[in-house]
Amino acid sequence: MNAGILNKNDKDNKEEINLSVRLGNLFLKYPVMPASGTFGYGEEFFEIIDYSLFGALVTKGISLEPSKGNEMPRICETPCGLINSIGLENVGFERFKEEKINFLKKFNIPIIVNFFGKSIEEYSIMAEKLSDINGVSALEANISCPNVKEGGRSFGADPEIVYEIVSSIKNCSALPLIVKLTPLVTDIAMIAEVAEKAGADIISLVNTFPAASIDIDKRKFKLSRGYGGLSGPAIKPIAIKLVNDVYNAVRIPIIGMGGISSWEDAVEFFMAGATAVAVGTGAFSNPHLISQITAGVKKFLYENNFSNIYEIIGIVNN
Amino acid sequence: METKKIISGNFEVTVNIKVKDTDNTYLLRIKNPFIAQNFIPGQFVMIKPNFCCSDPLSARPFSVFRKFNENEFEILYRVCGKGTELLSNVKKGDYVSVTGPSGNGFKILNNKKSQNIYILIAGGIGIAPLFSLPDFIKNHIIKNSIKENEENENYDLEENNKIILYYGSKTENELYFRHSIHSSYDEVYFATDDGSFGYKGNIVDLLFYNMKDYCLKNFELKNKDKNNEEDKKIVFVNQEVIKSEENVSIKEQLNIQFYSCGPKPMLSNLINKFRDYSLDIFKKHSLQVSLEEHFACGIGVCLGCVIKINSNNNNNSDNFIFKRVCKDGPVFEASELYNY
Repeated sequence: MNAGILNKNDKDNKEEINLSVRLGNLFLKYPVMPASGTFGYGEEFFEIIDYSLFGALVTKGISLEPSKGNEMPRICETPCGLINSIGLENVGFERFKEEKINFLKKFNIPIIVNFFGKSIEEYSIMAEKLSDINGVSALEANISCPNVKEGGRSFGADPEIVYEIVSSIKNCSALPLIVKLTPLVTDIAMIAEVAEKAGADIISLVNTFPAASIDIDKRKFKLSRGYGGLSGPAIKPIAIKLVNDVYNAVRIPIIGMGGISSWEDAVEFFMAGATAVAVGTGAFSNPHLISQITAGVKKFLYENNFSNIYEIIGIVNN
Repeated sequence: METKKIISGNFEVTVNIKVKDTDNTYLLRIKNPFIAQNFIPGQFVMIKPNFCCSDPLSARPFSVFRKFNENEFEILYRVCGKGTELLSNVKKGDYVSVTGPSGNGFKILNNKKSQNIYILIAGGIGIAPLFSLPDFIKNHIIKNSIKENEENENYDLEENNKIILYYGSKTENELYFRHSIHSSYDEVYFATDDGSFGYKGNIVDLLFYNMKDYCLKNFELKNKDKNNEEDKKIVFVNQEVIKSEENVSIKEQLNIQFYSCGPKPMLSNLINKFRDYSLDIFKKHSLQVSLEEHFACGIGVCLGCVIKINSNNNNNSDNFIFKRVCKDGPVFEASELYNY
């Protein structure tokens, strides 16, 4: 029984560790959340786990019109990684508003809605419409998708367009705005600075890395579109470096992600400069991952005599 | 805390042995009362033997083979890649990461006013999701009968419910449990491509050779003279009968359910033959197939494992919609599948 009492004291002290973070006007009880596109609209994971240790709920990217997505095959596994080419399949704004948001609202956890547009105008229309939905806490603009007008080059690769998209979203929405960056740029710090100047409240990075895999027997790409986006532990060291680059370039907070599959990985992202982290592919094979990270980070802080998460954010540059 | 439909955690392996007479097929037994007691045949579990390691990265899906006892369930798997290779090296007493039971499972549609025939069609390792279906069907029938006992005093369970297995494979030692499987069925038919066990040839051909004994035999009276002719004629007979009003009552009396799992060419062949023979016109004669795909998440969030389903929506420019094999399936009604 003594052991039990000791554990209880131990726990009480650990409870004093403060994990809450502020991202602009967005207040999170815990600095860990799912990554967009790996959490659906929150319904499926809830059949397995509770969300009580989640800092936020993050939706799949939503567009004005529903999108059917790409032909199969859409996924393939590579060493320590997963390449996907889902094609931004989603239910569209109307169905999201009518059928999906209500489920997310019942948890009393901040709801971050990820969205994208086919044009700069569509980004603003979406931002305005989403801001009118009661219960949305923040918006996350995915600027990695192809700009059809500009020959399919990613919106996020062009600083001028990044400025234009971000400032026009800020003009039609008062919600905290997260801008999710594509890693496929020469200088990600510069793109982040542009987003900050245009009014972004938070930066999230990284999105998946363009990648391909070939079936040598069929002499064909494994995915229907040829290439897709690489996620998983394979990209973590690259993501850590990019998060640190952005940390050293902007003053706004960062949500770091890319291959996190343990609390130790999450601590690396905090130390690189992230104020919060997101988990995607890692939760596929371990649905308990987000809760485990929240608990693991808390334990780490306690055991290393830190009293809150801010003491380790960006510690490598101090 | 709400009760969850799906459990996820690291559970103990109590048995992991190679199945007798096979080169690469294993039986894995895992201790987990929740899955053992709650799964429906056709549902699957995601298993990751190397839960601390990133290569291979994703868990792999396996149909629940059967409940061993109240605390343990089993899966039957063939080593076919890195993930299953790793799984085959797991020792008794080791822990593996398991999430499940997931997916929809097979539906039992039985009708007490008619004679029910359940026909299972398995190809090789495709026996796995079908293996516990006979017990499931029997329990389902018994449960329903108890519920409506008063009305159905004269209902003969044995006489009115037949369970039949068609089991095919390339060769003899891929017909798992071929010497003991009979005990669960009223009739069992085997076929192998090389003729090493049972009928030499395709299991789907064997099924259709016998088909007139099931759904088409009631039509013999009307078309007696044509009955002995080629299979081709059966198509004709069948469609004639559908048009004929006097046979409606006969259709009402017979409820045939088909359940299948096997390699894609076998399933395509089966589904296409069903279309050719217009069996899907008999709404009651449903064919449920369990499909296989590569899964990343296995819980319906990544949208990586979609297949095409016929679209009923006329506004839809294409004739199909995507559905998730892992969440909306893995069991689908064959008539829903688009160009399978």
